[in-house]
Amino acid sequence: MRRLPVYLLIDTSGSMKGEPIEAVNAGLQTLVASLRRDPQALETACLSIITFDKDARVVLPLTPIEELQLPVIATPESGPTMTGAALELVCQRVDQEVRTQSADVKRDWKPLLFIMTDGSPNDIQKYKEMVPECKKRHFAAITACAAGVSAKIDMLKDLANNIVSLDTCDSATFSQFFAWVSASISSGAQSVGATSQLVLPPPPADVYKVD
Amino acid sequence: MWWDKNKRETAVGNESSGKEKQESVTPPQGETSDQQVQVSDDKPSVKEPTTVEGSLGGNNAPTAIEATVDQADVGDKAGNAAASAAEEPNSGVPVGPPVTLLKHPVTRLPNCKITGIDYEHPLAAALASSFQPHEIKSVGITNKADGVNWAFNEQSHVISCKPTAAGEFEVELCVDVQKHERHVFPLRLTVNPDPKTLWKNLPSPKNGVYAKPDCDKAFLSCGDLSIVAASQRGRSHAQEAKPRDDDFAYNYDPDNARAVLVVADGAGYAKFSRKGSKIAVDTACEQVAHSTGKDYWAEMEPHIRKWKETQDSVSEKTIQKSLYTVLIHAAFEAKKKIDQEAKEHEARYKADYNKAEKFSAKDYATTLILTLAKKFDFGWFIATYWVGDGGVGIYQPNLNKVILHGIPDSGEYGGQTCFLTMDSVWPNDANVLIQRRIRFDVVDSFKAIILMTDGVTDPKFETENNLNSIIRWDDLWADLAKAVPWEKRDGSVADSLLAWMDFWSSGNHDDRTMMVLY
Repeated sequence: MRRLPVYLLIDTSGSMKGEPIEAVNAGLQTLVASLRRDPQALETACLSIITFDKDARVVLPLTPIEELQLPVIATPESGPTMTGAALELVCQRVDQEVRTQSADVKRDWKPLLFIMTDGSPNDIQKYKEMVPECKKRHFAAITACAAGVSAKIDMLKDLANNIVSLDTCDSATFSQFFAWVSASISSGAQSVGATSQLVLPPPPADVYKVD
Repeated sequence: MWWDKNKRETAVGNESSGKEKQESVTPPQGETSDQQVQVSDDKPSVKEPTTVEGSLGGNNAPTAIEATVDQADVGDKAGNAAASAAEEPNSGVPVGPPVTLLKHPVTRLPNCKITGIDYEHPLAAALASSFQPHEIKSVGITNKADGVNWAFNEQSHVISCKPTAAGEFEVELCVDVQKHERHVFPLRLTVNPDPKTLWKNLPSPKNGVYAKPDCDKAFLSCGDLSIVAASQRGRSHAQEAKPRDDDFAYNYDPDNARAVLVVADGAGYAKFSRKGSKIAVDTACEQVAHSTGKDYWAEMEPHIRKWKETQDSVSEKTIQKSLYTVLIHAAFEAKKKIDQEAKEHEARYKADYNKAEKFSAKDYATTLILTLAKKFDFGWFIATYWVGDGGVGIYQPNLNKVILHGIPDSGEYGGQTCFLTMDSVWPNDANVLIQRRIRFDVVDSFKAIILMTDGVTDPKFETENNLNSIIRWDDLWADLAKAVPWEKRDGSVADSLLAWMDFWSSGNHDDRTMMVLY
């Protein structure tokens, strides 16, 4: 079976504490539940979650949807946003987990990357180094979500080929965002045979596409 | 029964906390206990449920004391009292010591992959990591009426169920231990829906641009042999009411005992690839049929005969050169027709909608497998031009052999391949093109020549290396033989082949096309 690897990078810096992170957890539940109802995603999509604050960690290694059990994501009281560290980690994980270029194994589909942040990287040097590294991983799409007014969209433009922004970090908005992520993963799972960049479905009302 | 129905379970709210609500606990499995148990409803702070791989309820179990007993009663004295209470059935008087009820955080069982299967999971190891064996008096579950039909084997400590619906389900594992404690472990199970029940089969628009039937089939008698073909739209397309992108074409010349077999797979991402594959198979088939008449074979026969005997390089070069003009020209003609169609469609689009929209051959991207087979008195001459994925083989089980008739194109990731419509598959050097794309053989006989798109090769062969594995071809043929009555040699063979195309393979739901000369 060919897998569609999906990486979610979630900002868990101190500013996400409280309602935002609870909304993220609820959104992830909805995301997984809707992927379970999509036959193509249920059979092919694999999800990994990486969180980042003062450092980056894998809270969910790449796992098929049918086996997946979501961890509950927590935030520290305060602290920096090491986005660069998160990109470095996702590159390592892609190198380890995504199966490519061999006549002996079934190659995976090109992976998808979603990154959600409510601020801007505190490790700018590392971030700038890792942007070209991410490009080398041939993601079918890199989608960035700037959550809330403090999120710096300009920094994300170098990295992502799709950027959306959320005005608020409340549960209703996050719920829309994760529903859209789910639709994007489903469309990735359906574009069987795709060699070109993945075209994502149009985002819902409170998720603004940034050009 | 795992629980002692005579045991007196008394619990009071934890005095020290004082904020609990009192709640009655449903007795296990519908049995009426003669006394209600009062427990507190003080929920523990939301903690991440643990998986059952570790110890039950996580490492800091028990985390939530829902109800405790009078501390003074816990001890040897209380233990003796419990024992005596157990020997005194249905007295109706709470004579035993109170039992402490300890509720643990939710533990997650490994997911049940799909509905309708027998699910079971061993809990012995998890129990052993939470309790000493001698501590445990009994273990059981409270059976919740949620349609999952939980069961628990008291000897093996295996929990099982047979879910009929997808969703999240919970059951409580109750462990009675020495010192009059009942540990309650809520176990949560996620049941995935059966993907087979989720796939929809929505017809593609009948009057859409470049509309194509969702399936197609054909049967043709060719002397002693037959050509059979079937093409089925994949579930991933049926789910979205999208048309089939695969196509096939064939031609048989009875005068020359010559067959042309063609299959093509339109790229999933290209919006008009259904038309690209159609143009490719029709054009290539027609061209090859046209250029391989009586005169062609009269000219080629001596070279082919000589090559069969000596395998000399002069004959080989001559044959390759002629195949360049037959097969490669036909494939290139197909590419040109596609380029032309893109331009014409652009013009039509402008005329019809007054909208300037750019279309290119890329929108019609398609693979192509084009095989020419001709019977001589000294054997079969078989030649193939192949671009893209899928597979084509000359199957010779009597020799325990398959000749894979070319090299599939593949990229770094799944689904990446080359298309007829790409400039990169058309190098200027004719020799490079011949070496990479053309293959010919002369064989005494064959069981079948089989052409397939990747909708069939992906599930049946999985990797490129397996395309060279005779075991995989044998398996495929055996699988086909169960469903397809080859010996009938009539239209029912095509019907059966088309029906076979619906085979289930998880994650493999692309269009499937197969053509067989046998």
